[in-house]
Parts: sequence; C-alpha cells; structure tokens
Amino acid sequence: MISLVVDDSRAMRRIVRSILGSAGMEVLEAGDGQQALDVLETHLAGGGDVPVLATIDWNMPVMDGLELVGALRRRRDLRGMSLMMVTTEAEQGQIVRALAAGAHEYLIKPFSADDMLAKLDLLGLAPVGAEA
Amino acid sequence: MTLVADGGTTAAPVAVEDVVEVVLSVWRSFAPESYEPWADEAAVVDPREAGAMSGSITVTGDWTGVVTLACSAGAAARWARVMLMLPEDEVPASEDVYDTISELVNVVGGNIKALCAQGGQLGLPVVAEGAVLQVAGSEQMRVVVAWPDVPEDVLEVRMFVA
Repeated sequence: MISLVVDDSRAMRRIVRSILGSAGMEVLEAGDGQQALDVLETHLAGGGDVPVLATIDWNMPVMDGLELVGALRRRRDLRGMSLMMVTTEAEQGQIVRALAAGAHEYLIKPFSADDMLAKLDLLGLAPVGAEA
Repeated sequence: MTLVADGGTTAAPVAVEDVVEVVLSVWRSFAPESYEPWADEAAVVDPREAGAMSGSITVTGDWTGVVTLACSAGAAARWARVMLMLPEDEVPASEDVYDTISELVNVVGGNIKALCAQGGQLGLPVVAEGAVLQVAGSEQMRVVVAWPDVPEDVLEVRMFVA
C-alpha cells in the first residue's frame, strides 16, 4: 500500500512515515500542497498505484492543507484515496470545515502512534492482525 | 514532578494550568517512554548559548500575540532524538534540531490557539539558534519543563500579547 504524507515539517513527516511504515505502507512525501500534487503526478505517470491514504497538515506554505483536500477531492481518479488531516487546528469549526471539504478523518497534534493507528483502523487501513 | 508556571505582567486569556497541560500533552505524545518533565524553579534558558534554540509563532484572533519556545542546547538535542526516534547516543544534525523545534512551537502554538483564539489564525513558525527572538508585546505567561536527570535541559514556553 502506498501513502502520501504532506507536511512542511520534515520532523513530522519522519514521525508519520515511521508510523505508516509500521503499518506496512510505503510512503511518498511532500512539503506543501502544491508539491503533493506534483509528487502524485510523477508517481502516477510512472505507473504507480493510487495511494490509499494521504495525511495532510493544515498550515503549510504555498498551498495549505484545506486547499489540497479540495484539489484532491475534485480528482475522479483519486476517489479511492482516504484523506486524513493531521494538524494542530483543534477547534470544532476547523474540523467541520475540513470534513466538509472532503477529509475523511481528522487527527490533532500532538498524537501518539496508537492514535494514528486507531485512525487507520477507522479507515479500514490497519494491517491485518494489528491492534490499534 | 515540578513545573515552573508564572503569570506575566498582564492577565492571560487562559489559565496557567491549561498551558501546562498543553505542554505536558506534547511531551507525553512525543516522548511517552521518557522521564516525566520536571523543572527547578530557577531554571532559565539563555537563548544566546551555543546550540540553544528559540522558536516563535503568531496567533491572530480573539487573542492576538506570540507564543515562543526556547530550549537549552541539551534539551533541543534531546527533543530531536525523541521526536525523530534517533539513538540515545546520536548527535542530531543541525537541520533535524531546527525541524524539531519548528514543529514543537507549531504544535504548542496551535493548541494554545485552540484555547484562546477560536477561529483565529496560526502563523508559520520561525526558528533561530543561539539568538534572542525579538517579540513585540507584554509577557503573559511562562511555563518551563525539563528532564529530571539533567535539570539544565530546559524547555520554556512563553505567551506575549500583542
């Protein structure tokens, strides 16, 4: 399974990559929304599978996470990709905005590995036999 | 566990205990296996120390101000090791330490924004090494934590109202 981790923090990308790796996922990385779209285009043009998951930070330069969610949701070829916002934006109104824009799950920073694995479970992406 | 938590010169929009809880939740999420945080009352960070790291992030909304974070060199390296899952004896690369402090101030600032500036905006983090970040505004709060085995490894969070 391929996943896409979008966060302007290299530290956070490394943390999320480690967690998703423990769930058996290969990880593509991008530092902002526009870069994520570029990475996806290159990946798909090279014959890669559509990622099953994108974890998306909210506050990023160039293109923020909410814009990226909208851009991904408009793509019919990416309908199979689950979108998880992973962000410090903890307010109810922001969560509602993200879900309305098309995010499937929402994880607030800080989070533990178990928190993220539980979200994967909710999305049906937890590895078989794994306990969230 | 002891924490230093001082009110500042003007009334803060959130309780000190809430900010302490934010800092502790960040600590426990990223470093669940490490020691509980602790700090000596006299603990201070000299941001001009070689290797010391400072970060800041702006919050705009019901409360408008700046959240800053400062780490001694030792604390910055330890945070980088626990967050990036590096071996205990590894000296983290400078860019790893920068990234770690940037994400720390982002997470702490974001959670403080949720407490006192609902619907507001969070800026992008700014990080510097061995330098004092100039912040315009009045200090409202100071929270300090440290590892108990090395009390000089201090992490300090401050709130300044604009």
